[in-house]
Amino acid sequence: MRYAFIIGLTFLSIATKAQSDTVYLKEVKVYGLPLSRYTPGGKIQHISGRDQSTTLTDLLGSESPLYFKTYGNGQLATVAFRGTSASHTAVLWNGINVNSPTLGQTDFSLWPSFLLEEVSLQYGAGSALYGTDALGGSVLLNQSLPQFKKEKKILFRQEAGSFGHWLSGIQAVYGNERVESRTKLFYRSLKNDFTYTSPKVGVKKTQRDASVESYGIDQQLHWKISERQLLSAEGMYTYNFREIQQPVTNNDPGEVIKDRNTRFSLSYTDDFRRGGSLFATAGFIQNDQLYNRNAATRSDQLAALIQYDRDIGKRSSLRVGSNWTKYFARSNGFDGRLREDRYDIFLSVRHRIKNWWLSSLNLREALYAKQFAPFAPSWGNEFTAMDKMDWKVLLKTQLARAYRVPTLNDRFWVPGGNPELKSETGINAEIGAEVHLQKNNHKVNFELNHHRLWVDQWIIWLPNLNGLWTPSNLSTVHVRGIEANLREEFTMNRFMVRMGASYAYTRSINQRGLNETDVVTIGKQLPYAPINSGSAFSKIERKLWSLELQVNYTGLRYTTLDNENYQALKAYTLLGTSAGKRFVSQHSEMSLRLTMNNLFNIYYENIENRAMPGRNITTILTIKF
Amino acid sequence: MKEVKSNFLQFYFLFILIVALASCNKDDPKPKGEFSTGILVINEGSFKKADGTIGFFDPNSLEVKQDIFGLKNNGKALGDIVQSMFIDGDLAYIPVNNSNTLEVVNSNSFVAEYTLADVKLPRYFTVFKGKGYLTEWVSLTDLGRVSVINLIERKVETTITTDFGAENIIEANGNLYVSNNFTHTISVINPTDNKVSATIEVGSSPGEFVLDEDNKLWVICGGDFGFDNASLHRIDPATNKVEKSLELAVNTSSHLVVNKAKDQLLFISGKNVYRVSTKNPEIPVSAFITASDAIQVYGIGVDPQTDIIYVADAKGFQGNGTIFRYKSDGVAIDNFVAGKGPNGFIFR
Repeated sequence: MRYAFIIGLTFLSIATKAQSDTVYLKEVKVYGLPLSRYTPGGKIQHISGRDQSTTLTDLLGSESPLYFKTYGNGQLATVAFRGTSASHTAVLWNGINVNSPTLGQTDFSLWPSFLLEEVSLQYGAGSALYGTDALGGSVLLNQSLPQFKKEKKILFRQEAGSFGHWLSGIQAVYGNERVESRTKLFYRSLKNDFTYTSPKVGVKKTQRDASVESYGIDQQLHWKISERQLLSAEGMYTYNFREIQQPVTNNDPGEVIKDRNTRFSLSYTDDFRRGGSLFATAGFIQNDQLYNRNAATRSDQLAALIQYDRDIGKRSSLRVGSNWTKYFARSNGFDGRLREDRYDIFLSVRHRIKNWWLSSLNLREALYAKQFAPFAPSWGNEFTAMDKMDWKVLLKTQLARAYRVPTLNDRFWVPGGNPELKSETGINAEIGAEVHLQKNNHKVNFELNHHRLWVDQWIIWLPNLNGLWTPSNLSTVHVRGIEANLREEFTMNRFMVRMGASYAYTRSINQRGLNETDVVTIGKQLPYAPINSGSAFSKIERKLWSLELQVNYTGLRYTTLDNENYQALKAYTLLGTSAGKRFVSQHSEMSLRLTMNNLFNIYYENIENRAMPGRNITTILTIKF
Repeated sequence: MKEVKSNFLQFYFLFILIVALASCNKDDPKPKGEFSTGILVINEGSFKKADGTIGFFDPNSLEVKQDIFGLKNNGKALGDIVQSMFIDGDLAYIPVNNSNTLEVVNSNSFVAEYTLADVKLPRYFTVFKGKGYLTEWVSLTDLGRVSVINLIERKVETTITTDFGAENIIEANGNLYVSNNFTHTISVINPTDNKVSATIEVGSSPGEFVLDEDNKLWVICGGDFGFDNASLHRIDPATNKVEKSLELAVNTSSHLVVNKAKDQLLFISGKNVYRVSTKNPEIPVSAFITASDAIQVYGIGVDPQTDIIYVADAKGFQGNGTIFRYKSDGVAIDNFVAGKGPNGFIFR
């Protein structure tokens, strides 16, 4: 499979090279997110290091304070965004919520970085903008804006690394003034035969039966119908097969899991200039999972969104819209095929009250299964406290209500599903400050944020009086935290230096016992939510050389709600480094990069007793022409 | 010098021992080890988390020690789903279900002795005439079996295929009885030729056995998943006939225990403990104990010395469990903290 693919790629590259002209593939950073306009006061982070990660798990794990509950390298990975659980993060692809309707969460290891373009995070409650699930935060996956220039570009990437890591990928862009096509294709395999010494085993072991194989394709077509009309279509298909890595104490192979995800979207933008703009999207999402070759879960999702955005005077703008989603789901746990329709309407107003004060109010009401989801308003403010030649200070506040509609499993699983479940609700308040300094070639950005989140009706599955597991709106969780982020960029003696550090403190505290007499779990940190985490990096570039150093710290994580230390996962620090050189010729560019991860060769875990790999090396060759 | 020192240490140790023994009551011999008297709590742990442990509770000092295997073996883990434990003299045999191992430890010190790794989804263990008998599910779709283990050579001698879900095992009247949990049957094994000599039909999902004061064999059948059709059966080991069957009209766990006098059977369903007299067996109309503070009653035990009832609450595996203690008349005494998913007890 692998070799056939490489031969195919090589052939394709040669064939296209013959007719290619000489424009380099240059990434254009345009954030065309129609959403970002109504988020003053919110904390947004654009993620950049796409080229140095394999999946969305690695990418967000190294670039943000998001914690991933990873069951091993390349294995199932769910997120804890600001101390919340895996289903409290909305994941939107081209504006469509792609969390599984059955589990209500996303396995981030199923999103290959190679197929992604713009990745950004919105911290905190975002239901007013993104709908259900956006309590801890939201992950936004979008297309970068088409360039509509005459070009033919090819990028070829080849990675080989420790434990049988192999990735081949090709991206091709063809464009003219009216049409742009982008094709991405990749194949990846990972043997995962790393050695480790877990204290729970006491002897050195070699990981077995944890291999991963995946491939995928993404095709985008953009058509500039007229100066004001744009039609964009995207289709993505990913295949992922893995052997499920077993706990360190087990020696026998475990189950296997096969995931096939198909995603289509068609968007239409009509910019009437002064008359405002219309944006419409239709999408189809299919998640098809086969567990251990016999248990199939499949969900199909149809989505449509329409919104109209216009300026009112010079200081205000208004957006109204609505979306519709239809889910079909089938699994061993459902009584037949489930269907559900959801409708949302939303309204956003943005107003520059003073030159130094920008305010935005967003409202959303959703209807699902013939009942209303909690009303979700959000109010954000951005104050320009200082705006000088070389420095700028912004203050931000956000007050928002978010919700999570119970999943299909929560409501309809047989036996135990509880159709009476209410939606979870959360109130988020945050305040932040941003300082931007710029003098000549020296840039410094500093961000500090304090956030709080009060979640009520938090759903927990527990055995009922008859011993049957069933979910109820049992818990209340309060989250409070601080996030600090520093970035610095300067040029010195032809060295370009970029460095940064970030730190997050998150207290995610359970407020209610599992029953009236349970006091042990009250006031305790939720499992798998690190209280402290931080990272630092520095990147030095000179001419065609670059050197990068990165350190990530993850604090202690409890594995039980009663916070016993003997069961906690130990804090760990990972050090990584990477060195690269570019070779530029008239018609092409080649770059070679060597990356080393976990330099201290530390044994660590993100889920108890699932080994993570020690020191490892990856070489990445990229050719663009 | 080293030898002198060690001789001195030996002498010193001996001296301490003599003093200690002299100060002891003759009826109260020096315990063989830290865990040779007290209550061992089996905490099976969460599936695929390999966090199953054995805890220790001292009923005199009320002191609890968690994960004594880890404590005595440099932090090592027992494994994935610590199903049960059987003590035979100085050795404790621990089938670790999803790790496919039988962990053998010193029953007094809890220092690891050896691991038997060629087993498939082991459940329960017993020793009869110097041989070890281990039940194994093998898989969810294969027939279950009993492995006969040579305890001196530490290896499986032979295996006996029973039926789906080979679960609990007990010796009665010179035969071995195996409950086949995914079926309605009990297999009787003749240990002289290691063959299934009889099959007894009982209710759905047969679980644990106990022997009553008359050496009659009782088995609990938990009932089908999602149905209230548990049952209790009395078997005469001399004839292998089912003498008595009680339809319990609830769904129960597979745990069955007997009190000190061996004339009261106890089993659990939901948050309730039910009691059935062996002399006058009747379907219980109400619960004997309702563990109202519990979330999920998951295991039960009766101390054969004090008759104190131990009820294990697994708390939906959200956190560590709690053990509630009751007097033999059902009056609550106190509670203590367990590990993850407590499912049973060993009283020493």
